[in-house]
Amino acid sequence: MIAIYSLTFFFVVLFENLLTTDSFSKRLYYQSFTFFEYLFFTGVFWFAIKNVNIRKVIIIISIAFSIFQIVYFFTGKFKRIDSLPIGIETILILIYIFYFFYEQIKEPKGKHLSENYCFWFAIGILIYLSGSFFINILANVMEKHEIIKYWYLTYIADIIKNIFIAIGLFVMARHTPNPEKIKKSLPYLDMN
Amino acid sequence: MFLLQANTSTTTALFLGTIGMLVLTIGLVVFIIMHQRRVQRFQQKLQQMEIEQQKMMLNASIKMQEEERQRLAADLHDDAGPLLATARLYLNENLVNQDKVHQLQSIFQARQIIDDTIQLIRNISHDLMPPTLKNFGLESAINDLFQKISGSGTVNASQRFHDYKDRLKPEKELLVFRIVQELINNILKHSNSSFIHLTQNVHADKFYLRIHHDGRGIVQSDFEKLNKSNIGLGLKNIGSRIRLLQGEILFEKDISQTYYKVTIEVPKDDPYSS
Repeated sequence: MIAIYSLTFFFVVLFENLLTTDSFSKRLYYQSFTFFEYLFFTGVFWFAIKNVNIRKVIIIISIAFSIFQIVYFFTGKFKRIDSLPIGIETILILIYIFYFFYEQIKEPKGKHLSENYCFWFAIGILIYLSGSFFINILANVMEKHEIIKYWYLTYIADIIKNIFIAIGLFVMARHTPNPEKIKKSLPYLDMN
Repeated sequence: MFLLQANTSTTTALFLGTIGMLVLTIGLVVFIIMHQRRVQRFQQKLQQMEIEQQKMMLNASIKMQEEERQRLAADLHDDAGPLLATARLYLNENLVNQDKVHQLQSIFQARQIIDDTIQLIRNISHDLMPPTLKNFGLESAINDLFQKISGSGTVNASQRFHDYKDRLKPEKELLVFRIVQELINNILKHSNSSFIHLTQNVHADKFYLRIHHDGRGIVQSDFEKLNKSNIGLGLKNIGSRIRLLQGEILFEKDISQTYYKVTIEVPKDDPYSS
């Protein structure tokens, strides 16, 4: 899922200028971006969190957030980016991450946290969201030249996130047991 | 002037806010890592202590059991056997005063019974501590066991040792043999299979044994369930012995869905250890 997210968003960002030609398409682009980003991040932690009740709460919150986004799309004021949905998305994802960490602390599985790929995803997403939170919130009240001047902060956060996601994927590939490999380590035992 | 001030305060808010968020994030991550390390260290210590205790208890109980069995085996073999044989001789002398036909009949029957008893005692003794295992090792003991099973004519039991040049330590051999005995016993009792095949091999520093059979069997989830329940004492003993050997056991069904197989993995002895 995280791989699909990375690939999709790579192309979406790459073709940003083509996709945001007028005010409507710009609004649609940014809100869709926020919506799908929320969806992917939530998906990651929905699978990682073990508590069934919390998972149900996440689904309910996500439905509520989706409805809010639709309402905001038609009624909300839009200047440069959708600051309000981004702010809510950030807070919600941060809550999911905090809960994920709380679960990890509460029920340690014996292995080190660094062996859990979700831990790396969580750090990456945490840095990305907290690093770009204020610039996204203030984007509509800041001067255009200032935004251009400081927008690099989001790029740094994005790069850090991608590095951590890459580490997570590497950890995932390394620590997922391969049944074929296990079988191959057995010697010849007749009728194999 | 006002605009400039407003811009400066926004920029300050942006930088302070971002730095604050990042500091909080990094602080949180560091706290989680430190906390997890502390918890892990504590758990490891606790686990280690638990394992040590379990190992000690298991070792003691199994050692005691084996000692008792060896003692029983020695008593039965060395004492009961000769005593019964002597009784047979006495019986011969006491019958002198009876008429000839009765004498012959009684003697024949008494001898028959005593011979059977001696044989029975010998069998019990061998069951408790197979002499073949002690003298000739696991391969011969399993071969003996399988020959007896095949001899009954109902189940075709075969075995093949691919690489057993380096024998396991005697205490390990005994544990492995007891596991095999229990598994074979279960197969004979519950599976209704027509054949049993045991195969052995080594790979890297591991010793492997696999038993195939074509009857009704269990898979790993069943084994784990039975191990946790109140029934299945034999399976619990298998589990204990495997733990003591620091090995693994895997119950599974063949890909062809025709056979059940049980694979035992035991670490080989360190050639440099005493």
